[in-house]
Amino acid sequence: MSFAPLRRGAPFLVATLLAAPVHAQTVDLPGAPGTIARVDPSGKEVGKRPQANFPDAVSYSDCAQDLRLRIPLVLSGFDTSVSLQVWAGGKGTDCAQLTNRSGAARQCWRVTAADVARQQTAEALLRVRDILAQRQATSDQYVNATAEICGQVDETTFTVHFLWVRGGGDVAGSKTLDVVSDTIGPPALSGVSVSPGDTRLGVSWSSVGEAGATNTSQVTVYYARAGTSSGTTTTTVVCDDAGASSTTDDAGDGESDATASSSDAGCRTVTTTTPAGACAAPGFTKGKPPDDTVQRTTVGAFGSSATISGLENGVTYAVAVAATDPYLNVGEVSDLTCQTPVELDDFFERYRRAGGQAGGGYCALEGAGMPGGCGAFVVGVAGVMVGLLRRRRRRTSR
Amino acid sequence: MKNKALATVLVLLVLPAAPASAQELNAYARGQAPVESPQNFAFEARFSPYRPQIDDEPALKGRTPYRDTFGSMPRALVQLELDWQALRIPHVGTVGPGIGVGYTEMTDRSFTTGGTRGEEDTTLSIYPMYAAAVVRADAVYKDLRIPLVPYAKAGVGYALWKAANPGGTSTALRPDGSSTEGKGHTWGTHLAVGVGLALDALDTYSSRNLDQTTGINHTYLFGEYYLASLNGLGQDSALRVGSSSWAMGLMFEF
Repeated sequence: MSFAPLRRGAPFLVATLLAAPVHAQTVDLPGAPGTIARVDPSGKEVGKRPQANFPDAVSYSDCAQDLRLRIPLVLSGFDTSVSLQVWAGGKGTDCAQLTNRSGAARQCWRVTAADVARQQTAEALLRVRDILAQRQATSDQYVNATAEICGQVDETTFTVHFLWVRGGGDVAGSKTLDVVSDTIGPPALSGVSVSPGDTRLGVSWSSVGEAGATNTSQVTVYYARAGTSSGTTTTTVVCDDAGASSTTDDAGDGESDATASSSDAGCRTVTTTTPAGACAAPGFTKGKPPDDTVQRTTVGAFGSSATISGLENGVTYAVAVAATDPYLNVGEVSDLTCQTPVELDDFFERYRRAGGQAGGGYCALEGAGMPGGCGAFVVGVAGVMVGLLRRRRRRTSR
Repeated sequence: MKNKALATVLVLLVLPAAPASAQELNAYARGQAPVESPQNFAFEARFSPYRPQIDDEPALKGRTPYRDTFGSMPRALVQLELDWQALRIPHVGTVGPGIGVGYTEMTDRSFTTGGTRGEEDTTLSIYPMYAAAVVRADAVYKDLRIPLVPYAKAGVGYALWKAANPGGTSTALRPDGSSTEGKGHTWGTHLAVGVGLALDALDTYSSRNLDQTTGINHTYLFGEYYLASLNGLGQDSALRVGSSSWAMGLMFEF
């Protein structure tokens, strides 16, 4: 056996071993994403969506509530020469590369204001807005995203990078976590019609696939007693790049959510005037989801109709529908339709009014007049069946 | 000329009943019937037009709420029947009990108080059922080799019915102000006569194969006239959901 090759490589091996870091810095996210809790700005833990609704993804509601992800970390091998920074980037972007974190070609953004404390078990508290904040990242400093980002991200996966960064900016160890986000609901449903019933309104729409809203898990029907519109002018700033919009209700309560300006690049102002006397109701504002005070009923996405029951005949109701996607983002609300339930006579009412005597239930003695009612029928049929089976068995055994 | 035509029809009817294979010819020649699996039951799938006789209720005094609401066009009734051929009478046929269950539904628009049609549906669903003695004179086919089996049924009829609107089961106010639900049941009698055309006569060899592989002895296409007098037999008040009509379908003996 010859040891010559080993002897030749020994100096290189020793040099390499000496150059290696004394400690290998690691970050672990035990059990993620299941172990990641969600807390509101006050620090109170909030529940996740059901399993069918992507509980670990970020929805519009999560963003609007400014929720935080509380991520448990297990750290090891660290020393004072490294700091644990948290960055985010689009899926596939390697934020460990310094060029992706600084300079003009920067593609990652920093999602915490301070480094994570260096201790064996730690927690990173990340605002979901910051994770989605690609559009608002203008420097390599903490992004501190605003509410504007909510409603601008359509089914995108971001990657959160936990990086052990040395003084020079190079990365000594890292761990990543993918965060799926969808903050834009389905488009408005088409073909919405409302028909009057007896203390009811029948609402129908083009089935979800036909309406183009294929990514829909349910449809919500909103309704309220109609008021009379005195005429409103609604100004909406529409931004082409992200579909972001803000609305000002000139004739409403004066509240304005204006967050974009028509002077911004790619934005324009759209003014909509609702004529006096048009269908309107308190709680409905064009371009905005109905208020929480507006009554609603929800049906699955496979249907294309719903019935609103328990209404008052002769009273006009305003109705609108909106699709909801699997992340529970409520989509664009349809235009209001006003309709009035009316008293109607169905077949049975006309039959009884004509003098007919039948009715009262399948087994109701007062309605049947038959001794034993349908109970006797059931017992009779069962008796015949048992008799037949016994006879057949007897014949078989012979 | 007339006799010639009659003879042609008879030949056409009898010819398909002829055995198809040499073995079966030999079996018949020896006076033996081809081997068949045991036959104890019959199953029917049937369709018929159905128009309930609701407006015949004497209490309506000639008023016609059914026709006014749903019109006079019959609706389709889909029905299944299972017979137990408990007894075989030689050179006559089978006798035994049978039960049938069916479903039909009619839907139209409700009326406004002004008498015009509203925009809401009103529906009447009927589940007609019967338990009857069934006699099938299959000796006509088995002995005379004419592929026709006349039959008759007689028994008790029963139906469940329900009137509904988009809000659920209909309700109506009684004179005392209380409400009554638009659903109930109706007793009556069930009578039927019909004739089945043995389809196995068209291809005896395939028919025997079907018997060997599935146990289905015979397959029939049948037509029948029935009288479902669901008029509330023994009941003080009942919705007359019976009908008299023709039916046709397929029947399997196994």
